[in-house]
Amino acid sequence: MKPLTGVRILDLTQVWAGSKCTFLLAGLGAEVIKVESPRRSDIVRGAPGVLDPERVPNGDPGKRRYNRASTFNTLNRGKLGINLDLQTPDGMQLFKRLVALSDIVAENFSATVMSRLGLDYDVLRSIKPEIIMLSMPGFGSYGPERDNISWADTIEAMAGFCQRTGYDDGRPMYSVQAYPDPFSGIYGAAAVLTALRHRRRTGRGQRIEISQHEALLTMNADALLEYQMNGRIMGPVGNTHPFMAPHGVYPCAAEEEWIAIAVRDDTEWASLCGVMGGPPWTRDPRFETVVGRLSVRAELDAHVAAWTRGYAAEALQRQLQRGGVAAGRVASTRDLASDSQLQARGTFEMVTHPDAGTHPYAAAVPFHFTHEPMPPASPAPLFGQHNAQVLRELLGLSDEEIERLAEQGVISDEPEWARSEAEARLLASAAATAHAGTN
Amino acid sequence: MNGTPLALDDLRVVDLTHYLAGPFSTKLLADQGAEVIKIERPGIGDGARRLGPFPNDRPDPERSGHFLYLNAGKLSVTLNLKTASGADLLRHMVEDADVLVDNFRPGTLERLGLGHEALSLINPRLITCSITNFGETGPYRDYVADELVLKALGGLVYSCGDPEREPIGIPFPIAQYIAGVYAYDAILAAEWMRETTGRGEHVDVSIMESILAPQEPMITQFVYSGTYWQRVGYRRKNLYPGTILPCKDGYVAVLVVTAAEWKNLCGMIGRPELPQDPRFSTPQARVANADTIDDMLLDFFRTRSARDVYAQAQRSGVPFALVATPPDLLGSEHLRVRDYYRTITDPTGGDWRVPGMAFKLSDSPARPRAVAPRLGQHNRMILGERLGLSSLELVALTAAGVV
Repeated sequence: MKPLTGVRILDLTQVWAGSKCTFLLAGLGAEVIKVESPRRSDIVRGAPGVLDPERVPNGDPGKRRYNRASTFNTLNRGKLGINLDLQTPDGMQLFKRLVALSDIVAENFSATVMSRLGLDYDVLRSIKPEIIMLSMPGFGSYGPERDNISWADTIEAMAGFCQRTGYDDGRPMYSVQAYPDPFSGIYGAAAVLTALRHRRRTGRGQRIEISQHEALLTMNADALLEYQMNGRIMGPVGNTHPFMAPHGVYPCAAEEEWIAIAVRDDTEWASLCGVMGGPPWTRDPRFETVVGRLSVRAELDAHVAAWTRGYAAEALQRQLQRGGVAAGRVASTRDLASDSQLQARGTFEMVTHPDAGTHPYAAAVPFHFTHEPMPPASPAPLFGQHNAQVLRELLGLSDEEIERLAEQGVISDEPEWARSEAEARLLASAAATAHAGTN
Repeated sequence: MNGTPLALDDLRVVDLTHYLAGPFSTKLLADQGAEVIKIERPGIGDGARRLGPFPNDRPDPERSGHFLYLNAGKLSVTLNLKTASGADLLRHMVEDADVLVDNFRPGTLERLGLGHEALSLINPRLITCSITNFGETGPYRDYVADELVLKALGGLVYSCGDPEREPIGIPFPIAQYIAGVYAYDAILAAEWMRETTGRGEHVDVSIMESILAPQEPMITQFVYSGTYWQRVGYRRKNLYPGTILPCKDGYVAVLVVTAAEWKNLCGMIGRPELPQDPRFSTPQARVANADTIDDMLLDFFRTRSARDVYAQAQRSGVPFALVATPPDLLGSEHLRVRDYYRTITDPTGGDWRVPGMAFKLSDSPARPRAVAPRLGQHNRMILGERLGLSSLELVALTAAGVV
């Protein structure tokens, strides 16, 4: 069984942080009904002009590009997909009827959107008293910086992480890893599970607020303490470590192949020397103790790099680990997709998506239950795939009513932006044909 | 005092974790009201007691910053699990526990006769959770690692840093922290399932798999199209401006995502004609003319503080951020208004401000406790009063190195 079987989430989340949260909860068995806008859709379906062009299988957008977008198809597996125009009275009324049938409403709009829509917690609670509402704005629902425009990079800087990211010249950088988004989502799931348990015990729902900024800041405690305790500001340090040397990322034989090595104590240093075959330079007394090695880091790193350059990263990783040295190749996305540990652990699930084809995807639930392994999550929904199913089965609408809603644009099987794109394409090709006809 | 119970105040957790990942998961449980009994090695304790930072750089196992932050609100009991008596006391302790968490190397508890199956015979409802670097199975199972090696293997290093130089691992322990949050998710999911099955699950949490999260969409992109993230260094390659630049004091994180934001930025620096300039009219054009853009921005930044530039930008609809330093964070008016920080008191009376809750619950707000336990502080309470050992037995066990 899946733990959250029987729990229903009405899901207004979009892009990454919120979608990651409900992706995980869907993997754990919750019925997640993702509600998109028939006009904008979730923008990671490839809505023009906002983010990078979304990647589609084999670079081919196909007839329905919005069903082939990599980010959407990753973060929305296991969910049902509907759309409702909440700007129309019909759309709003249907949404509220779904609230009455749900346990949780989740959203990650900016702070004031839900109240502008007329869907703040008090409204939701008046529809269903024990509702749990999860909101995850970048900087929370109140406070002077509430209305900051926030992207993952913004959160990374504001939570003090950029200031610690970089080489040892002190110049800060973005990590460009976008970790604030998924990490906030993982915290979102933690909050929902906590609130569900509270409701089980007390019968009471509640409002959950996650400031993504504050969530990330829980992982920066050491810098705050170092400053309070010793007045030091921990800045960028490259790959160096205060107590370990060698500790770094070293080049391997092939271009853009690197290996990370961390020598945690003198015993591991002896092990590393053993794996390297005990070259004469290692017998330099300055390298004998950790204090000595820390004081001549650059020289030591140059020696180690000269040695690692002779090897392939993966082979070196195995050789060093056999010798008891903490080491691992610097895995690219390509490497991860074929990594032997991830393969052995069943990290990737083969999923067939009607518009995108059959591909491996990272599992929705990255941890493993011994007795009750989680089955693979279903593919991400096509745009509007479950409109009729949800409206018919949950709200009892007739086929005629559903058809009327589609005609009025309250629901749709194609985002409005894609329709205009298709029209533009059609016009262009008509113009091209007309032009060809004159030749 | 709030009348509603804390969400987890009826949960009893036996906590065998040490250092960061495991203690972070049980810290989250403790913050929501769980009783967390931390088991430490007699005389030595959790290695985080030696990690620091320490006030005035004076090492003291009761004043390590990492330890205080991660263990406030827990109870500390010392027990040598390698002795028969120690293992036996642990077996007694799990009789009425809900959860047992460890982050030893894979197989450690099984070797001590304290694995999930053995403990299930004592308490079938016991949920056990093991957090390990790479998981309890697979070819990397017995690999040794630190944060950098974990991040490297988990895909957080390859595309971070300057393309002209080696990749860098970000130097804060988010790999271990995020595994701790996933472990909290896993434990509560298992607890939810136990309501139906009546049986305690075992959950296997891998740090490497936990830090795949930022790579999840990228893996699909690679599978779909063969492309994936490469290092971009100081400047974003897909949009511009996307960089970090110095001001009169400190740094500001410069970012423009939409056309409207670019227009707003041009207005802010007094160059309202720029949006019409073809050199800057598209994100790609701005990437190609990044040097010129940097010169204009630096000209504006040179005479202003990072805080002022950031505030003015956000007021103007430009998503700049402050490259916040610890004094910025501790002095933040926003976080003060939101009552974010909590204060931890160390055993010598020092007060330290640490991050508060990642999520706010309106009906069962967390009431985090302010004091971290001294090594073995609760031996008498747990082993004596609860398990019924006499004072004499406790003395004998202490002398024998069991407690």
